[in-house]
Amino acid sequence: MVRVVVRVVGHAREFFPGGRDRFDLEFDGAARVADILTKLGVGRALVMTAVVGGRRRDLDHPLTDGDEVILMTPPSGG
Amino acid sequence: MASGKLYGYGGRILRVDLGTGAVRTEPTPESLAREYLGGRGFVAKILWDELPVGVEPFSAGNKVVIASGPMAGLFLPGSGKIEMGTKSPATGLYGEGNMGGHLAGELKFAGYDAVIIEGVSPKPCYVFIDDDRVEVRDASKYWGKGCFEAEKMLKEDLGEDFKVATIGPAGENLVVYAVVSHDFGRQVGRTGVGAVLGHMKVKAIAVRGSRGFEVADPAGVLKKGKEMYEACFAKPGFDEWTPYGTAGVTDWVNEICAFPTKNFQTGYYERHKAINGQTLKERICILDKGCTGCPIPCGKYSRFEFSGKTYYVEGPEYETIALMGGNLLLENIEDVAYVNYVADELGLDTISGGSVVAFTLECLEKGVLTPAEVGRELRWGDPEGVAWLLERIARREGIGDVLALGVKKAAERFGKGSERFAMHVKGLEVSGYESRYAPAMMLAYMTADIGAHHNRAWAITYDAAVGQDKTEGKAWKVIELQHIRPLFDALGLCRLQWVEIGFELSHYADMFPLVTGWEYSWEDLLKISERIWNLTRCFNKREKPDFGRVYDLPPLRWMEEPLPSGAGQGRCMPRDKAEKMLDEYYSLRGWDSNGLPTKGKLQELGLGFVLERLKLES
Repeated sequence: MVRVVVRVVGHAREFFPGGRDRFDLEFDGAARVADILTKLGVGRALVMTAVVGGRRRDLDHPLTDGDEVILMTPPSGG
Repeated sequence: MASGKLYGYGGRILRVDLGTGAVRTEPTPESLAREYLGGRGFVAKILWDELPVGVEPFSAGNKVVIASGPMAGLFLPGSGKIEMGTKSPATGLYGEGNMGGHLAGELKFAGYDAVIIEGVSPKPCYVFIDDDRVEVRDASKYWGKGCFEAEKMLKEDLGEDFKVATIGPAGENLVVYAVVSHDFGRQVGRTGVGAVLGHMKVKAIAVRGSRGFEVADPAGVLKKGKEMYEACFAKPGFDEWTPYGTAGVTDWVNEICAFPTKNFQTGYYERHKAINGQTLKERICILDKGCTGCPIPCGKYSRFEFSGKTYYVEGPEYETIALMGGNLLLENIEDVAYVNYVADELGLDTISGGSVVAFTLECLEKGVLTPAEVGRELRWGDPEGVAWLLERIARREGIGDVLALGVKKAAERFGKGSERFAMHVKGLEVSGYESRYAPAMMLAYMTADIGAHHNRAWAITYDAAVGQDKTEGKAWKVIELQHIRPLFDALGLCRLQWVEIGFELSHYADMFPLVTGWEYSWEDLLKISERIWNLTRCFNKREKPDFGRVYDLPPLRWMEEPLPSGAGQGRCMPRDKAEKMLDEYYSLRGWDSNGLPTKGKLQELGLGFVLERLKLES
């Protein structure tokens, strides 16, 4: 079991379920950051960067039990 | 609190008549403040009320309105935005831009909510404001200087505590995309406000204020402001977004095929990583630079070497990376920073300037222009060539004299099919989002009041959320954003805390009554924003009797040329689809089929006074 806390950043969190900015998710077995998006029903285009353990990671990065994952939605360009 | 007292406001409107040198103040009308808030609302209403119909932008009848807002200059995040507006020389329509820095608060500290600059000075001047002491002073020693140089000189002459805004040679020479510059790197960039000041012979505005202004609940404002700052610091994106600022979005925009590349020929630039936010941070950024009250300073102040010299510039931020980076095929961040510096010192908008240079390069590529006509061989990816052309434009020399009019008019002069790649809507050059694979963003560009500017409705994440191929069902989102985002411009606030790190809008709604004492809900405030939106639409109709649907069409390139490559390959927006998007948009707005507000809509919004002027039918 892999349990992670997901924080969503940016105004585009309105496109995440319930417009929430925090999700506590569980996965049976191995999971990647991309699996978070699948579980939440959110397209990859809505995530600009993932930060795991304070470091920027790509969507194929494997999750570890207890990870906090920050999903940066696209900021505006000005 | 006393009836009629305005809390959150400086309390006065300053009027400066350059023709006579006369200066007078009048109380800020409570009805204006209650119904239009400030900032963009004041600009729109004052221009509607005071400009003669059909006034020429470069004439003594035009005015420049500078307005702060009730939530500027306060202890709360993003409290530093000021608006400037005029009849635009670029479009002949409503013109307005905003900027951060420190002018918005300083103006209110001096006791003013707005400055209305009228007439034409007989010689170069600057407007000096030091609380109640207001003078039109001689600016001959500053005239001809770059924006930064003039600001530095004025601060040396007047004192560091003056907040100064300047125009550069581009404004002095009436380039229709000349900016007003402030704080060595902030600009009112769009629609040519700098050019109108140049026509007025106003080189600068210098403000110092010590009076302060009152808020309705000072303890409440302090408490809520502290809460707002702590909420910002606690946002998980706070540490992630700030290091890169707006430039951080560069890679993502390329991934969704929306990055202006080679005059919007495509939406993906292969060298985008060499000019993105990370590269900016690693190679040239030396410090973060922010505006009044900002906890997430988006300004990235940079030091870099170019041709053996050291330069400093605030930036490049995303729009410049797009329009002067990918759009010109510049290959590294130092090259982009250099042309950014050149444009800033000359006082040219990097968005329109980048678009004009790209248009010229494509004209050369397609044989519309020859190198002899341009005056030099120019090629894509050449920063020195870009700098050379920007100088020609700012000085109105050679081909620069026509290019100073913007891509729409330049294309009309050059002909030979160049209108097919003149990237503008309503005469204002498109900003940083190639939108053939982003229909909501395209609709935002089509319907923005000032022309193709993204700040009214940054709708591209909605495209990412619901599908980039979908064209139906997106108008409601564009309209929602067109009410929320410009509301910040009426309040005197920066929206980046909300947009970039997801700061909740409810904070601003809670703060507003503490500042003003008015129990306006967020919905009340959005209604005012909708009122302003409809007013500027009517201003455009008033100034151009044929104004309507045809002004809302996208650039020909977007209607006729499918994207050749990338994730959006094959997409474009044929005219019939663009018109269908407009049908949906107009219907939701309560406008008629030509895109004009109906009588019912105007009355609903308290804009009945517009009806007489426009004689609109229901």
